[in-house]
Amino acid sequence: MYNSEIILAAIYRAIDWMNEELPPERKLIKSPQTRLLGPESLLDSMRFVTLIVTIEREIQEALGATLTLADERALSMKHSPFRSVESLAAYVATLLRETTNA
Amino acid sequence: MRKNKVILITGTRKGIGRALAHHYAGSGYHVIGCSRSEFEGELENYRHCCLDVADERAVKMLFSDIAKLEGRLDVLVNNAGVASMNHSLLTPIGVVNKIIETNFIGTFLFCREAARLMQRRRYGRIVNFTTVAVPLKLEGEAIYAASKAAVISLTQVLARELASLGITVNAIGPTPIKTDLIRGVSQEKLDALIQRQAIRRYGEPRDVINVIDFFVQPASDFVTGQVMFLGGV
Repeated sequence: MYNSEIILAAIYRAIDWMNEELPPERKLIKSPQTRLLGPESLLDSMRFVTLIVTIEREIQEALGATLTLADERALSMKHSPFRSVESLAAYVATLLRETTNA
Repeated sequence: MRKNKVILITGTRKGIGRALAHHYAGSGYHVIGCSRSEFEGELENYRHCCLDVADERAVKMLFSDIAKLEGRLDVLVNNAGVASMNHSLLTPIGVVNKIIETNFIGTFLFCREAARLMQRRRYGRIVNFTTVAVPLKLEGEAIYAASKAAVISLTQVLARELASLGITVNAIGPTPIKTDLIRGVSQEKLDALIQRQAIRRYGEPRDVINVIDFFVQPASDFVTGQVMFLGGV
């Protein structure tokens, strides 16, 4: 079982990395409720892509697991796993469990 | 993290790729090369990896190793390529698949994984290989030219997608160079092709190196999405 705190910490490190180049008014707050997609998100499409790639890297470095977050399954889900930090962390945990059980 | 700049070149076992490996290994770079088979001979500042450039799993493992062992990737040169001279009516689908896999899918996979690694340092230079067969619309090279036309489109779109990450993406289109790639092409066809160039001679590896040197130098950070054909084509 993967610790949800490790996953959340990896996402927060990715947010820190992203925030380095974001103007103050667009910096992401490190909170489970932070929106990543949709009208309430502060990310444009390119920065969203960069965040996802950076989260994949942080997960790999923290847990040694190579994940592809934006796969066809994620993109076709009724409720996007990318809508918030919390939903993304839950999706990462699901993928990690499946990787372990495979 | 390695202090020297790191360059990854595909298709280094022979021809232009091998010349590029020697050039950059002697120019202060740490060179990582790859091909389907072993690199013959010794070369300082060079590490070789055997893989098929269209094998996604192997490509991902290569980049994972680069991230762990080198901690950086400054330059990617997508040199690996295959050609086949054939009238389209006589081209088997297996040949079509092989050309598309190596020339286009391989280039895409390496660009994708390289950009993921380069964006960490917000710096990178990618150089892809196209060919004069695209603008010259060479008969007998329909699939080869189509695969390399796809590389041009890929280069130009990636240039826009990756610009904000500090990564430039450009392409070079060599004329015929005396390597194994043109071994199966008749002398008559090669002569006719060279007659269509503004400068009528075979290309040399140094011509390719010259253009790549320009694309990858740090001062070329305002040059992206460009396709440079050799020989005045």
